[in-house]
This record gives sequence, C-alpha cells and structure tokens, in this order.
Amino acid sequence: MTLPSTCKVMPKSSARLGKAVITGAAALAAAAFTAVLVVSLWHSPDLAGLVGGLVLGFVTGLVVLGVAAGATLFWLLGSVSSPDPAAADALITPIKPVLDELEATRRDTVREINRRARWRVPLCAVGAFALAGLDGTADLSDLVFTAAGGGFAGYAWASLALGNRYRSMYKQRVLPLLAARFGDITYRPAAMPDMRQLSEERLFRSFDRATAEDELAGTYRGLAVSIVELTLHVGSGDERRTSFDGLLVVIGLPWRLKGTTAVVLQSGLFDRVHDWLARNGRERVRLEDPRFENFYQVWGNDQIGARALLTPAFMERFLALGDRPGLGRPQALARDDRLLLTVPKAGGGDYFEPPSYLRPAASREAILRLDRDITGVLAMADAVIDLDQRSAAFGGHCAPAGTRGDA
Amino acid sequence: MSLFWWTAAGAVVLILYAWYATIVARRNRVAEALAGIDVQLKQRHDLIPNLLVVARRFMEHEKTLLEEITALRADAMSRANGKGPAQAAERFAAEGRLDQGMAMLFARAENYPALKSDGPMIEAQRGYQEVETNIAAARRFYNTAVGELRNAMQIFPGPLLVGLAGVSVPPPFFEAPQEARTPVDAAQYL
Repeated sequence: MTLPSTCKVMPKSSARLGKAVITGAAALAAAAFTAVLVVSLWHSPDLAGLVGGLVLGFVTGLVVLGVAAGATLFWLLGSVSSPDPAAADALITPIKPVLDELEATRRDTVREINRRARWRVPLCAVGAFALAGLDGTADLSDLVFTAAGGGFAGYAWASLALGNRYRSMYKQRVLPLLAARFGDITYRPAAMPDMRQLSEERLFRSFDRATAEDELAGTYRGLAVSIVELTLHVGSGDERRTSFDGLLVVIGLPWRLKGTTAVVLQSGLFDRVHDWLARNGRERVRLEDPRFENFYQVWGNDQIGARALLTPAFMERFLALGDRPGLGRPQALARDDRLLLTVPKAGGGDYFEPPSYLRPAASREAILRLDRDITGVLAMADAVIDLDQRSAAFGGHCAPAGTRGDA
Repeated sequence: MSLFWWTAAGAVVLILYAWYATIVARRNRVAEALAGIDVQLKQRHDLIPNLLVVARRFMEHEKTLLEEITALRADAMSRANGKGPAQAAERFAAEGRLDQGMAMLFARAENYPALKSDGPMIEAQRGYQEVETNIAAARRFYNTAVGELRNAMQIFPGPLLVGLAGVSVPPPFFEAPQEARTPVDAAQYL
C-alpha cells in the first residue's frame, strides 16, 4: 500500500528562493556588523572602540542572520506541509454533512467555553493573587506571575471537559467514515487488551498503568484485524516514565497455530535467568538465523509449531519490520488462530488526534493527517499479514482496489 | 590428600557428570525431534493416497508417474522404523525422493485445468501444503537438536563421555537431496 500524497514536495523554485533569502540575510548581517563597527570606532577611536565594535558587530550580525534563517525555515516548512487541496477535498466532500454538524457543535463549544471563561479566568486569577498576597513575602512580579498562572488554570477549568467532549465526538463521527474507505474497517474507542497474558508471555515486562485509546478494527484483506494504540507507564509522580508507546496489532490467521509462541526482545542476564526459572512449560526455541537470534529470543510450548510459524522468510520480514523508519523493534505472540504484534513508535506522537475546537471541523490539514494516520496504521496491518506467507496468500497482496478513496 | 585436592576432584566429577547429563538430554532431544518428523511424515503418507485417487481421475496419461509415487511412498514407509544414524540417513534419502515425486506430480497437474479447479484436489493440496510446512519445521527442529548434540559430543570433555552416554556415532543432519539443489528445468515439466 502506498502512502497518500498529503504534503507538497518542496518545489525547486522555493528552494532557490530560500537560498536567495539566506544569502541576502548573510549580506544584511555583514552590513550590520560593519555599521556597528564603524559607529563604535566613530564614538571612541581607540583599541577599546575597535574590540567593542568587533564583539557587538559580531553579535548583531549573528542575531540578524538567525532571525532571517528562522523566518525562511518557517516559511519553507509552511509551504512544504501545506495541505494538498484536491486530496483534502476528495476526503471532505463525502463526509461534509457530518463535518457541518461538527462545525455547529464546535461553535457552540467555543461559545460555551468563552461564557465559562468570562468568570472562571478572573475568579482563578484573583484567587491565586489573593493566596500569594496572604504570604506577605511575595513581591509584585511574583503576584503578577501567580495571577497569570491562576488565569491559565481558570481557562483550563473552563475548556478541558468541553474540549475533550468535542474531541471525542469528532473522533467517533469522522474516523469511522474515513476508515470505511479502506473496506470493512471502522474506528472505535479501544477496549483494553488482555494485559495479563501479554505480561505473562514477557512481551511487556513491567508496567503500572496501561492506556488503550483508539482502535481500528474490522476485516482487512479478508482477515480479522484489530489495531490498538497502547501506552504503558512505569512508576508514578516524578519517577513516572513511558515503557511502551505504540501499536498492538492483532490479526486473525486463516489457519490454526500449534501451541503458543512468543517472540520477545533479547534481555539482560538477570531477565534471562528469571525467564528460565519462570518458564512454566515453555522452552526456548533456537532458530537458525543468527541475526534474528541476536535481536530476539523465542519461547514456545511446541517446537515444531513455533518453527512452522517462524519460517526463514517470516524471520527476515520480521527483522525488516523493525528496520522501518519511525518504528521500534516489534515483538510477537502467536496462539490459536491469532497473531499479535506490539510495535513501538520510535518517534512518539499520537495517532488519530482530531483538530482542536479552535480550528474549523473541516480543516484540510486535520482531515489529511487523520487519513494519513489510518493509512499508516493499515500499512502496519499489511506488513503483519505479509509476515506469514499463508496469510498473505489468503488475503492477497494489495488493498482492494477502490478502497483508497483517492482514486 | 589436602582439602584443595578433594575439592578439585569433586569439581571435576561434577563437571563430567553435568556434561554427561547434557549429552544424554540432547540425545533424547534428537530422538524427540525425530519422532516429531515421524508424526508429520505419517500424516503425509496418509494424505498421498487421497491425492493419488483424485489425480488418477484426471491424469490418465501420467500412470507411470502415479505408480512411481506409490512405490516411493511404500519405500519411505518401509524405512519408517529405522532408528539408528545410518537408517535415519536412508530414511531421509527415501523421503527426499518422495518429495521429488510429489513436486513433479504438482507440476504436471498444472497441465490439467479440470484437476486444478477440482474441489477435493484443492482441499487435498491445501492439506498437503500444511503438512509440508510442518515437516520443514520438524526438520529444522531436528537439525537444531543434532547441532547441539554434536557440539556437546565434540567439545572436550564430550569425546570422553560419548560412549558412556550411548551416542558414539553422531546422528546425521537432514540435508536436501542433491536433485533439489540443482536448478529446476521448467521445460521438463511442460
């Protein structure tokens, strides 16, 4: 599946213009440097004037160059990421009635937030100011900053619940429509997967809190598919850190697996000893591919069943999946007729984020980004289906024609 | 004898025992893997008659090939009880010949569109492919087990203990038959 064209490629003329602007900025910086030096020498025509002029001129030149370069970069990036109107309109037109309803809801939401903010922001600002003033030691700047902080908290109080409600409504109304273009696929708020099983099979070694946010589910290439965005955290408070942020992809296979097979990342000596002691009927499955063995250890309760799944081609594709940009090394669990993969996102970022209530519901950029997220996630499903030759043969190698919607 | 020498002797005995136990465990692992291949081969032997019955209805001109496959199957089955290393090698060779015969049958079946689209044939072929995948997996398990046993046998003090552990002759690896390594001449099947 090819990724849709959601961004304009930077035209050569833009690149040329960018170069010209940078060159101009460099000339301007040189002029600023010279001007400052001349003024400095004119003020005090001695060594101190020369040194002062050189230093001040250099700093001024750098500032001029930095500002110009930053402005150019901002402008160029803006031109590159500006949405493709034709592609966006092709997505927006079929779902326009829903977007119009959401736009009406968004306006109501903004009105309600403004109404609430009118009294909550001053209330919180004054409250914070008064609390800080009670201390008696705070100076004016402390009081001003505290009041500003209180004002922000008041705005959050006014907007958070309503903003989240709009966000949730947007996802539930728009994403199923965008997902439906890819076949019998829909979006839904994710149900929490069986974390105990994943933990027992050592796909996730330690976590204190799991959050499953969004899910694409349905039938894709003839196979049952579920893709959940999952985040795991360890610790709490300042010690809290994310131990996993990625996708949980579950594919229903067209054949039954023998036994249970878990493909997990190689771990340290302590974990290996722990794994061996807590193997609970599972055995290490030693495979022939040294590169695969370098990255992964395979545990299973059926040596032949594990190898029937982990053919040399499967291992090669599994390694290639981890080499994709933006993704971490996947892990897998195969049992009954289900193949489950955990695929960490290397660069972070959330999928399926709707536009803020401050932007129009039919924002081209937002719609294109959501479509790109769905395409990217389904590309992951493609990669998982293609891992196993039998599943790939069952489901075919390409997304069904006409489901892309951009044809 | 001082405590040091007693400790050293004890350590040597422990190491030798651990090594001996490893060889025995790996020998049993090879036997387990071989049994795994047996189970899969038995399934294949059971499937072949069904395939031949279906094929015979359409491939009247391939009687020689069908009879040849029947004979190869009988030959492979007759060697199914051989457990020693030499017998295992002969079995693998016989199964390899049967593989070749079946590959030729499927290649020739391409010339019979009615056979290719026949429901029972499609089902039988799918079952056969499933078993073939499992046979390949069982062979890989066997080769891994043999590799580990050979390592334990050949690394010192393994050579001192192989006789005691009852594995003087290392079991053979499963290797693809020579015919399977030569390039396929497609014209031969057309």
